[in-house]
Amino acid sequence: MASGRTWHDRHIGYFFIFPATLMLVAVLVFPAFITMKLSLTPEGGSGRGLTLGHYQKAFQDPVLLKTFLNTFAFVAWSLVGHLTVGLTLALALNQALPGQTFFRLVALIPWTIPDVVAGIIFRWALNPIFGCINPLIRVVFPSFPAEFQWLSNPTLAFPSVILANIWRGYPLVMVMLLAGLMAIPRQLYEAAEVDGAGRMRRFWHVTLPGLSTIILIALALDMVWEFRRFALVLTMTGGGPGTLTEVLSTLVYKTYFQFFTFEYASAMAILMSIVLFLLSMPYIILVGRKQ
Amino acid sequence: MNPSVPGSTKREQWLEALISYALLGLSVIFALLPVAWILSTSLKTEAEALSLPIHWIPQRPTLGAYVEMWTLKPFGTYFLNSILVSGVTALISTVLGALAGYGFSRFSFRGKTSLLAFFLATQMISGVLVIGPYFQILAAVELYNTLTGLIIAYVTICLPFAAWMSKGYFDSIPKEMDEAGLVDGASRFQIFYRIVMPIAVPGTVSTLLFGFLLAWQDLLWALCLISTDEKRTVTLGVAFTVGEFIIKWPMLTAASLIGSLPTIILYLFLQRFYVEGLARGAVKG
Amino acid sequence: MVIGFSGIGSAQVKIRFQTWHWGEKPVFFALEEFMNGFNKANPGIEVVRDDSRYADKESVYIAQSQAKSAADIAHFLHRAIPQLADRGYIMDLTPFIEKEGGQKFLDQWDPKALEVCKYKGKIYCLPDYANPLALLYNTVHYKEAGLDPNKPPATWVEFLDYARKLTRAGRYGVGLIGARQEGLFMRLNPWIWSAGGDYLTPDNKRSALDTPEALEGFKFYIELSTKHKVVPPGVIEQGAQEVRTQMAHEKVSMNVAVIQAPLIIKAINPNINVPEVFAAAPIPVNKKKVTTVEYGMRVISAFTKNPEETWKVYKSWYSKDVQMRNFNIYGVISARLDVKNSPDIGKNKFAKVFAAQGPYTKIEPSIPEWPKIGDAMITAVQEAFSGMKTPEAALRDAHLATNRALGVQ
Repeated sequence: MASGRTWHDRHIGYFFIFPATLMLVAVLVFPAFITMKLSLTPEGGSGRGLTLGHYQKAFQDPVLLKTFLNTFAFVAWSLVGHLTVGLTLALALNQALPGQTFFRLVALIPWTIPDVVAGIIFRWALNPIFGCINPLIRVVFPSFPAEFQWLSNPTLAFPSVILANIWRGYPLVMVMLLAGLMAIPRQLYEAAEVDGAGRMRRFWHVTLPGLSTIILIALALDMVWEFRRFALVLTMTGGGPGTLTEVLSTLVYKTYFQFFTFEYASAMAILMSIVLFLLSMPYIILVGRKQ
Repeated sequence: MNPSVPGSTKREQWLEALISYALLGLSVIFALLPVAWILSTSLKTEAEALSLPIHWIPQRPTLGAYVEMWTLKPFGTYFLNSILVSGVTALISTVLGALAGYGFSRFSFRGKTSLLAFFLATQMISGVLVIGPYFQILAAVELYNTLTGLIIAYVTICLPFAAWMSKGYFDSIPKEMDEAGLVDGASRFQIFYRIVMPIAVPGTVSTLLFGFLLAWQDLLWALCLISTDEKRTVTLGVAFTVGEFIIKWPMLTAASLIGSLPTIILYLFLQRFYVEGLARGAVKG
Repeated sequence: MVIGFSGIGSAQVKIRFQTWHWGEKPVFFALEEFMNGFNKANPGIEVVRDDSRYADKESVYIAQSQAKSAADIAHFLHRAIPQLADRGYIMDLTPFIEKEGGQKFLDQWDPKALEVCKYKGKIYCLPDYANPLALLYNTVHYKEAGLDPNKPPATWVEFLDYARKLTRAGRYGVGLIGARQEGLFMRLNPWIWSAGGDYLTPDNKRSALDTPEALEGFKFYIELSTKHKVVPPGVIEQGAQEVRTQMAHEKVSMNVAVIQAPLIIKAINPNINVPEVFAAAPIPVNKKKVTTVEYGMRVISAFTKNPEETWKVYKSWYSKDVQMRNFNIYGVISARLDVKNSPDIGKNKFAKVFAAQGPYTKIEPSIPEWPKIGDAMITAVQEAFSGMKTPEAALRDAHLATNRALGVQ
């Protein structure tokens, strides 16, 4: 460890990383390059030199700014929800209780329903006339209005979408945290016991530190993942009412496939990537430092 | 892990169990409420699925949708395709991701943080923009409308996540284990798969599940890449129940539920390794 | 399948025929009939089905075209033609048409429909069907409300009056679309146009949404829900399919519909005797008698590897027999004059009314910027419906967005 490092030692890390890096470069570099080039191409065709016009337009686009803000809110709330539910369940599932397997399976199920299906189902369930949620609420609270509007209501639309996203996405964080919990050696808990630590102190001083890397990674990955999520939002609200629930990924999708303005869509996507990259810098540095 | 830690009183354990069950009970309701509706709809006829007033319990339950999905549409083929694609994706991305994660975890080398950043950055470009150029590549090597082309795409999307996740799990395994192996004369690679991987099993389970689900549930790539029925995946089959004029609700819900089963079965199977990994961790050190 | 012919591998040329209706009865039957019939009659060419999805028809085609492996024949609505043409994804059919006889060949189709097939001096497709919108209403509800089922509302005033009378416990007068889909502006158009307004100036260069006529039409649509409350709640979530479901379950008494609506309603609720309960009528008029039409067409990919064979398949689809059969199976009105004007159309009470709307149809501006404009309109409609903005403010914002999309300073 303190001895001088051989060439082998200094470079063996690269060998482990090599296959994955190769794949990423081979498959994604060309498309990334094309996207970059597209974002600098004037609309309507190449061959007329490069331009920063699309980026200029992007900075003056009111819809884009609003969408960025929506996306931040969407991602932030989803992360909070995923972490809260995921951590709570992971802790509860980490016990050797009877029925544990059943609970673990049930907790996993929302993740197994594809985005598109979840979006369609929630949209229909929240429909004022044909939806099943309103009648259900009325069973418990008979004075609840019969045709209550969820997704048409400007105040409730976004929370509804976020809630659906939390439902759909918490199992990933839960599974990751559960695995992280399992890796914490028992001796650490036993040692804390012996030192007279109660449950809360054990949690703060053994569990959380042990989980810290995994929590960081879960947050980083989930953040990137939620930025990309669009099928759920698209099917649930289509970005509405108005532009209240429009997120970056749905906007890029629309701009590309519906408006046919590939160049502008590319510029938007590049901007989104840059922002996302900046947001993930803290994670990258922290995780990179951990050994 | 608290079940039989010496020192905690019976009362403490009992209280913990109670709280846990309460939380788990709530989680069951939270997780299963939408699923209950999905199940209920899948047991209705198309007419009843849309009728008013809403009934959570089908008035005239029928397994029609469950039968139709295999006969009217070749969901059997779709299943085989999905299982193949998702399984291979999960395996390859987990293996390559674990290798990379191990490299990131155990070694320091120049550019490590940049490479970590690069891995994550590859996932930040919207899939929408990558599809067109990616398909140009595929068409050039005649992999268009093939499951292989799909698998390559999915593996590439999963890899960075698999690598990051693996790094996290490896980080929590003390390096002393590796050192012990080195002292015994094992090569780095042998240490990787004989010593470290077995302990990191719970982490591997998460990575496998993630890869499997990502490939299983993807719609956009499969939609653009596959144009013939015999290559279609289950998620595509489900998406196609939404037509221009008709949404076949019972088949949509039935197929989604059946489509969840392989992942559940996979998790059930992989679960066993949780316990083993745990025990091993407790025994060592 | 035996490869029968003599000689060295007379390989069958496969022509990919793409449409998004493969999963839907009854359209599915018509497609199968066509495919089997053509394949039998033309050994050497094999038409194979290539499935797409209505919601993703453009995305799939774009991605496939970028890989230069798009289906040989694909199915689109008229709004997609300008952009597909601009990007070079679809083939200019002029050479083929010249070979078939040029203008004489084209005379077999409705000239109005042919107009949307032409773009920048080239002709990119032949029109398949025309889907005009008309008013569909529930005669039983009319009788219950004391209205004469044989006198549907002819003016906006009557329409509002009828809608009010039809709105009673648990039921609403009109089903409107507020969801983000093409169906929305199809339903919005007649109201804006009939008030005398339009989206763009006649030269298609500037927005015309700041005229009082456009506002009148827009406001009428919005206020049906916000002020007169004759529309069910949650209108922003209602798409064409939801509204038809509302009709099928008698939650609403009237809606603006496409010709396939009666068949679809029957499929949703088999207990309703559709021909007896429902009837169709022209859309109520304010100043002009006008309605929306949507044209469907097939296009040939610019990247097809077998243009000659593809043209053969294409021509066959557009032949009189096939078009007639399509009408009989799934009820759309063909753009072929000999099918459109055939006496068979008159036999179906719904088809008769829809077909009669022919002279009064209008379409949205056929320009590449339309999707952005349509999107801004939908945003305005949703903001006005949900009360986020007044109709005036919402329309003003749409006006500004439209000018921005057109590059007007």
